[in-house]
Amino acid sequence: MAVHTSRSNLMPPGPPLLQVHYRRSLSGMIAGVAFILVVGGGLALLRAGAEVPQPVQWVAWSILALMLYGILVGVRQLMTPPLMFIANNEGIVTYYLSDHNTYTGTGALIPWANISSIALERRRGVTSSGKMADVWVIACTLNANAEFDVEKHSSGYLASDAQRVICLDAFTGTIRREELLDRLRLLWQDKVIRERI
Amino acid sequence: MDIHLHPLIELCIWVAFILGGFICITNFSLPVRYYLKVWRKQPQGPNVSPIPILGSLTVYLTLKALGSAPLVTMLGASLSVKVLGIVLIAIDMGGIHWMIFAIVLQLLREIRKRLVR
Repeated sequence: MAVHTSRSNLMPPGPPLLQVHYRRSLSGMIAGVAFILVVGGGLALLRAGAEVPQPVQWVAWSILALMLYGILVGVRQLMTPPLMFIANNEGIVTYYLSDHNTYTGTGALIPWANISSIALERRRGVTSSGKMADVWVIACTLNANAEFDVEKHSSGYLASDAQRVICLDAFTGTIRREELLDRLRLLWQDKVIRERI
Repeated sequence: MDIHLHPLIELCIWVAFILGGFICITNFSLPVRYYLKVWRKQPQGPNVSPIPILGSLTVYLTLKALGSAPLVTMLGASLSVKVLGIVLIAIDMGGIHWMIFAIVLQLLREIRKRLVR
């Protein structure tokens, strides 16, 4: 899944207990591949010159220009990876926006008290938007319907999730998925038990 | 326009050729794997190319440039490189030629449907 990321995440008030960033390796790979194709393709285009028909040259130069922009985005994300989600005293804040596959904006808060279970899942199947999902996610099942549009903020959303299951992408650049699950579970149990006391 | 390039630049074009070829092979393998899974009644993966046009375009451009490259002509490998390039372009199912083929096929199907009605 090609995910574009943005650095305009807004941190909610309160100290974060866990911060998870977008993976640098993927940004680096995208920038690297684009760089090789731009350099190689550009030089080939210069060398081939008149042998290449004019319309093909226009298309090729346009694609190379777009890829140049891709390199800039990839390098920017490599230097400052965007926040995917954070956990604080109130709950988990996810910055994922499924419309454009970005991590940006103010995020959506999933309160600890509204979570009934947290599990690691491998999602396979067609999402409600017709996209093929084959991803590892942290599925947060809720006690009551979420107050925001779950489909808009859930990674690998399936129609059966409705407003009750919200998924966080478990493939991050900060920690391994099993470790992420353990950390989130510990925080959740800690917060829920404290509230009950 | 014929520009004599440094061997390092030649290498860059070769790397782009290999990378473009890899994209072409990936684009070919996706629908093949998809239909194999359909046939075996297994859960299917994606069948649409995530990187369209780029693979065959890169191979085409590098092929044009490598045709007269010193290394290729020195090794007498010009023909084999060209054949390999043409095969890679032909199998790139994210390429413009397959897109045109798909559009024509859909058009013909639609016309046939209307004629049958």
